[in-house]
Amino acid sequence: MSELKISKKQEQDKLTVFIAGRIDTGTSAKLGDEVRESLGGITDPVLDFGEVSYTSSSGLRILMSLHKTMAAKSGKLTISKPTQTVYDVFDVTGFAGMINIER
Amino acid sequence: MKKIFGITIGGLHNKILVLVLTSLFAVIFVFGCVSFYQANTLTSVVSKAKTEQQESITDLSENTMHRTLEDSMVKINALQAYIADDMFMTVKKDVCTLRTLAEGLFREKDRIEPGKVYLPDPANDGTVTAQVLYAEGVDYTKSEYLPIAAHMTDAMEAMYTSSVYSTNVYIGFEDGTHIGVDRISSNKFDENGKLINFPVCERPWYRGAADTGELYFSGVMKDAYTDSVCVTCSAPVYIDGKLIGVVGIDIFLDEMAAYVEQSASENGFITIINDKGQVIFAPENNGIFKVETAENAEDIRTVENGELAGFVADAIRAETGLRTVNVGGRDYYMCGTPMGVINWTTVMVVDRELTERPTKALLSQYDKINEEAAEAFRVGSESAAQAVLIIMVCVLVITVCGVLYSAGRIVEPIESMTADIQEGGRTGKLFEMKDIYKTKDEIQVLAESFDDLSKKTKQYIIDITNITKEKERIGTELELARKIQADMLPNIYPAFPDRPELDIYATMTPAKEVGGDFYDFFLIDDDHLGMVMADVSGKGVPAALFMMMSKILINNYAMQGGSPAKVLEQTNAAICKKNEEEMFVTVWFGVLEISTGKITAANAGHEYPILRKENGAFELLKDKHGFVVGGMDGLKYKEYEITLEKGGELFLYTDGVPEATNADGVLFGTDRLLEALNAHKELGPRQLLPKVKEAVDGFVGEADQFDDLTMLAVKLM
Repeated sequence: MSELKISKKQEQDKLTVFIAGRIDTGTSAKLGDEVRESLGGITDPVLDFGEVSYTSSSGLRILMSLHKTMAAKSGKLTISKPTQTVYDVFDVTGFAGMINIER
Repeated sequence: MKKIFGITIGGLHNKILVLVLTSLFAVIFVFGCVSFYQANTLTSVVSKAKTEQQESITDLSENTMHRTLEDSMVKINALQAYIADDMFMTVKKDVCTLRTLAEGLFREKDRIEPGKVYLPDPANDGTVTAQVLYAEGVDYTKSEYLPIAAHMTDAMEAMYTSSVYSTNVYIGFEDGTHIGVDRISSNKFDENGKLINFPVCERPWYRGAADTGELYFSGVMKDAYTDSVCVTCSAPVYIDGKLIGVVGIDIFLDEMAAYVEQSASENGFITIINDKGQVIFAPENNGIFKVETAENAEDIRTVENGELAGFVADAIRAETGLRTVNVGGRDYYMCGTPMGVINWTTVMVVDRELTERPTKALLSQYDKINEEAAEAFRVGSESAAQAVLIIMVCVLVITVCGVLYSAGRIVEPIESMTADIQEGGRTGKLFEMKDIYKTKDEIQVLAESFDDLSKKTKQYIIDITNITKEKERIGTELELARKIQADMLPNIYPAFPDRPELDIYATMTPAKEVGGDFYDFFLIDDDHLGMVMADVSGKGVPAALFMMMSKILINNYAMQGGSPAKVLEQTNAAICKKNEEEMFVTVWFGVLEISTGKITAANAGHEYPILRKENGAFELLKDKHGFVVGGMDGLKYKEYEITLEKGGELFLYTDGVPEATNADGVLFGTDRLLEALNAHKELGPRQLLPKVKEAVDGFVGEADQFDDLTMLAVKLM
């Protein structure tokens, strides 16, 4: 099972999660749990996808879930710096039109 | 391991025994060394003390003996000499008296009447009688001396009678006549009855006195008439400077000889030596002094033994005190006291051995006592040693038994435990706590741990067995589910045997037993074919269930004749009503108008379709995308139209194809997909799909298949 490295940086109400590796069926749950446990009081979390080489549909499902959670509390989930491969996935699946992506 | 007498060689039992025995032997060895050392020291001390005591005894005893002997020997000898000398002194006085008497008579001879003298008469035997004797050829009747001397006869007879020692009192004259007084008249005659001639002036006593002119003691000689040993004391008689005769007295020394002879005892004797160094009297066979006749007598002062010669010379001169003289290898104590009158000496001799005898006796007694003590000590030591030996053997036996017993107590539970565990290993029998393990020490803890471990292991095995069974059951069910899923998808080819213009083929290879991908195609009416390619987020049973629901919904809404966008919107709305799990599905849905080749399609977040025109190459069709189905309620989708020319081909797939990854993490990608398709573009769907699968497998190699691999191709003839 491929490894997924997650580190977080929090400055007041601004949370940035740095993600590196492959997001697939085996690692996506870990990503969801890690991000969710730091969401208290956070409205605009940023997921740094700079080191993410691949995301499967399981990863997309986690992103959609997080997106819905943030939307429910009038917040906004942002995915920053995705690679072309990953952005293509976002593009194809329509996520690019739904979630705020900073290239 | 080998066992002897129930003890495992090299086992704990053996090791404990060896350890204890080694310690025991070390202690015994040290004890033995100390005992041996002490015994040696004791023996040497005793031996040294014994030697010292013996020397001390020897010194003390010999010194005491020497002093005592010196004192007594010197005194006794002096007394003996004095007594003998007194005898000679008495005789000497008598002789002097006789001489004075004779001198007085002959000085006054002119005024004295001639007296009468008589020849010996045997009839007078036993009576003290004065008798005349004369030398051969002498006429005694003509003698001028005899008539004068006749007046002395009474005095001579008196002297003879009164003297203890005198055996003959006499007077001889120059004219060869002689008057003697004794009580044996008969012995003056020979066997013929003739009077014996008596050569007066030739007699040694006469010559001695006449020649020396002084008082004279003759040597020891035999009496002229008897065989008795005698000494004569004589003195010359001078009248007006002229010798007229000699007076003399014989002393028989038989008593002295007997005394000397009797003096001989085991260790000592007395001897008398004269002024010439000759032995006068000595006991027979005394080993030192030998009595010889006067002619042969040796002068002891000149013998080879200087010690003896010196001693005798000294003894004649003066009292010697006690001296040690070695003769013939033996030591003798000797002391000599001279007799002043006669110038002889009395020598007392004692074998020095005598003095050593008490010492030797003492030492012998001491040795005996010592030996008895040593024997007692030896016996005591031996019995002590035996006792120690017995005690050691007992200690050894008791220790060995004790060690065997306690080692047994320690080892037995371990051996039993070892056997139980080994049996457990062979037969799978559960290790059980026994009374023998309840030793209240580490063994009990060990046994309890084994017991606990054994129980847990058993439970674990049961659990593992159950889990395995459960896994097998789930595996079976999943296999069943996979079959159900596969059966849900159209999989009989040719799919539409009565529509030869329609060549369609699809495959699905799930990453797990049941997948989240699905495809579908179905005739909505005679001229319209619905085609679905979808990918449910996630995998496994949840994805499969979600996929079933999605498939049925899409099929239902499609069959109701709605446009593709409408069908997806309806499906989305239905899924979003209850989607607690927040799952979604990407769907490409298109409706082919078979008669014209027109395809109306809508894409809900799915991969781009790939289209090939007649005689053209497969190309990616970047269509308009909507969001995934189930992602958000109330989504709207846009439709588009494309044309599938006769001889053209449409290829649909899920992301498992381009996202298949090799061992280096490189994605298969749409470029390689297109390449694979174009390499076999002349093939129909049924042959094309396996080729694509081959290309993907070749690329992926040994790496795991991450995602479901689903493909669909349709060709119009």
